[in-house]
Amino acid sequence: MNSLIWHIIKKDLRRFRALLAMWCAALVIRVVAAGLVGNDTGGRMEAGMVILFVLILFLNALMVTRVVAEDSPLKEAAFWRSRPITGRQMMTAKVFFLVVWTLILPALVVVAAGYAYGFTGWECVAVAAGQLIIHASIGALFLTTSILTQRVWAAVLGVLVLLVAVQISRGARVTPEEASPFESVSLGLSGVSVATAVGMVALGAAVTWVYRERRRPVAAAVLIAGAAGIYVAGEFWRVDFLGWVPALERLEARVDPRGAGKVRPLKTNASSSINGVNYRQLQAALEWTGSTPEELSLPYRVEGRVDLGNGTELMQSRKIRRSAPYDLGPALKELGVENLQSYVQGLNANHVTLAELTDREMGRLEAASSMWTGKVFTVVGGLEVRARVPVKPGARVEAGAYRIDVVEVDFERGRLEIRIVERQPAMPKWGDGALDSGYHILGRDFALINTRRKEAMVTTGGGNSCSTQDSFLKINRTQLQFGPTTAGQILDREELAEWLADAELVKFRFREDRRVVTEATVALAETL
Amino acid sequence: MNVIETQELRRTFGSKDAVRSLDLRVPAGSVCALLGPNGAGKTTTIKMLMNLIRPSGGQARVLGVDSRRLGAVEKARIGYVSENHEMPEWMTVRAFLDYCREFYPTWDRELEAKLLTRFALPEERSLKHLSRGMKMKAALLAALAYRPELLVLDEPFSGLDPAVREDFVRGLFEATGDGEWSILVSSHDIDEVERFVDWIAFIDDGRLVISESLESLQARFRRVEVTLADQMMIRAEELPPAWRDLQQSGKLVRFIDTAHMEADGGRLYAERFPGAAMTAGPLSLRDIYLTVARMTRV
Repeated sequence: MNSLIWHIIKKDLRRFRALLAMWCAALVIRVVAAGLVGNDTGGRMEAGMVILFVLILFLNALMVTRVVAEDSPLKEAAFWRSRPITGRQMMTAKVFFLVVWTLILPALVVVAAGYAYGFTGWECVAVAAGQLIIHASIGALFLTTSILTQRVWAAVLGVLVLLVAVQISRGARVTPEEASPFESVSLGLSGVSVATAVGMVALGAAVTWVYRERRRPVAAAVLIAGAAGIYVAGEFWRVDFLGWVPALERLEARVDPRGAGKVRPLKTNASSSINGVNYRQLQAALEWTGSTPEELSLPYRVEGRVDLGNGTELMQSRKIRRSAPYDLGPALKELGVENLQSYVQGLNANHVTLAELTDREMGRLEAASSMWTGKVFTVVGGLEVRARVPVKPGARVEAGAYRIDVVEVDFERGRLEIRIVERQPAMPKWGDGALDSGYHILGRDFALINTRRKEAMVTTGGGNSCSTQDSFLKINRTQLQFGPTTAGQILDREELAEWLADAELVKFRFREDRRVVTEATVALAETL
Repeated sequence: MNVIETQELRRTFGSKDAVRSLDLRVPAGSVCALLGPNGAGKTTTIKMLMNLIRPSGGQARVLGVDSRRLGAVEKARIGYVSENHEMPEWMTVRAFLDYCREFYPTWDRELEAKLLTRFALPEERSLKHLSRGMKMKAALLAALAYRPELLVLDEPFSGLDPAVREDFVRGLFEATGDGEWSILVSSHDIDEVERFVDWIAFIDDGRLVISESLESLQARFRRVEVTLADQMMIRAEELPPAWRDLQQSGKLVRFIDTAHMEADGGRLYAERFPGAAMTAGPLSLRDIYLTVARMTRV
């Protein structure tokens, strides 16, 4: 990098020092505030975090727009245009500046904060990747529009129009998030964001060219075509993020993914019309049962190609449907609970809905024939104790980034309710399954264990649950409800109080071992 | 050797031809004034020369390089000051000069200091708080301090009061007094320009009307006053086409000869107006400009 590029970077540093100071302050305040949210019971901090996150996105957009507008490539009157600096040098300086401040810095801040909060290495990587994608998406959108429009307000307006158009087109579908190949709900812009981030390289090349050649009509065409291409890619290019994660390869498998299955007839799920073209979402369902007596098996994401006779269709699981709660039995036994007379074991059968096929025509889609092949991701494992905490208001347990606060214990009305606040690292949606070792479902994986009486109470449900998720930290509040013990019903308050005196609240987690099986073949038992 | 040379240079904006087949040349070492009425295509021409916009056709060579390929090396040899050019207004004068200095290896700090004093620029004041005149002086300083081979000034005097113009021109003289400078200046302020230019290019409606030295131009244009011996009506169409702006009041006839030949010694006038008393005096550049402007509109 030559001295002129550094010269421009230094100039921009001086120019935007106030904005950068605000930006840094917002980034730091957010991660610090995220750590304090767990202590806040009123929800004001959570609301503040959301506002702060929006502010950060706004500052990000503002920074990109202003940095570009400062030395616009298309403005004839721009000062740099008559100076001895090439478009390539100017572009390098701008991109370097923006990458350092809007991509690397937020990622580093989050990694540092994550490390301080006790995140694991993978969790740090995941949250940093989430930051990179969010800011790169915002940056790409605003970089494109600010170059074309050359005005901050016009860029903001342009992006808003773009987003509204995208959301309208996505909203025309019945289940936009689920239809997204990226399922990146937490990224706000769904698949478009990720695709935009992926398209940064292409856009960067286009922008460099614009800086060098400075032909506005061609530039507009290139950038609009680029943005459209990225959008199309976001819609139709299925990015197999899970397949990219090396951790998937090394984890052991306990369950053979082969299993019996059956195909249901294809049926219309929803239909809508965009610009006169009818879209029809057809759902083919493969119900797959996999079970083992001791281990839980959870088919996580399944995709494969279905032989339709006249061609193949890509099928991909769109949601996990768990038919029963975890079977806590083996885990309780391991913790010394012997009296399991009243314990109703959860089903360990799991179902997965396979495939969502979208067809632009209203014509009937042929039913799948007899088999599918492809890539299967399975998540297997068992329950582990994540945390133990006494059943007393104010009790707290911390394990790494994970923290539980027992806020209130109430058994006045004949049943036991415990209100808790959980804090855990938040992941981008696509990272939830791949990288978050603490993946869990609220209220399903708690138990009260009385080791003296060798009994336990398992949750019968969760109430008043809510979750606040920043791109960095997730806060769950829930009210746990407990029913009878594993030995039987407790009939009065005194006995319950006595029972609780020796009990502790145990938070389990599902230990996720993952396996990728390529080219799995499942013979379908029945075709309906 | 010409520092600027264009061949059939053309630029259109939509259906409008801003510059049409312009063949302009600016000899090295000359100070060339690019004159023309509003909308004549002066600024568009300069923008094409500076590679700020691309020509629709034709070619321009600046310092021997195709203007479309004008890169960092050539721009380090060119100074550019324009009334429309954006400046980093958030910078102080000092920061602005520091910023510009890094771009030019040939930056002359002594000259910078000299011009700073000459222009009386407040170093710690930001550009946005400077008057228009001060801002133009700061821009000129930043364009002169690296001693460019070619200085391009686009309407530098526009909106400046006489005192500031004087400062501006003196500063220009001071800086360009030594060394080989070529200057292209577009301006409406003909009186100001006349003080220091030696080459005139006149464009109108995107076309080059005149391109010659000031000396030759002033020698060619003469205001002729004829006192006729007898009262008679002179009609313009009876005069040679080069005699323009005919005015008559009684026996007194005035016109401008746009093709005067000194060697001719007034023979043509005597032949056309026998027995009349005649005087032929030089025209100011302003009058030449106005004459040419009228000629092109006819």
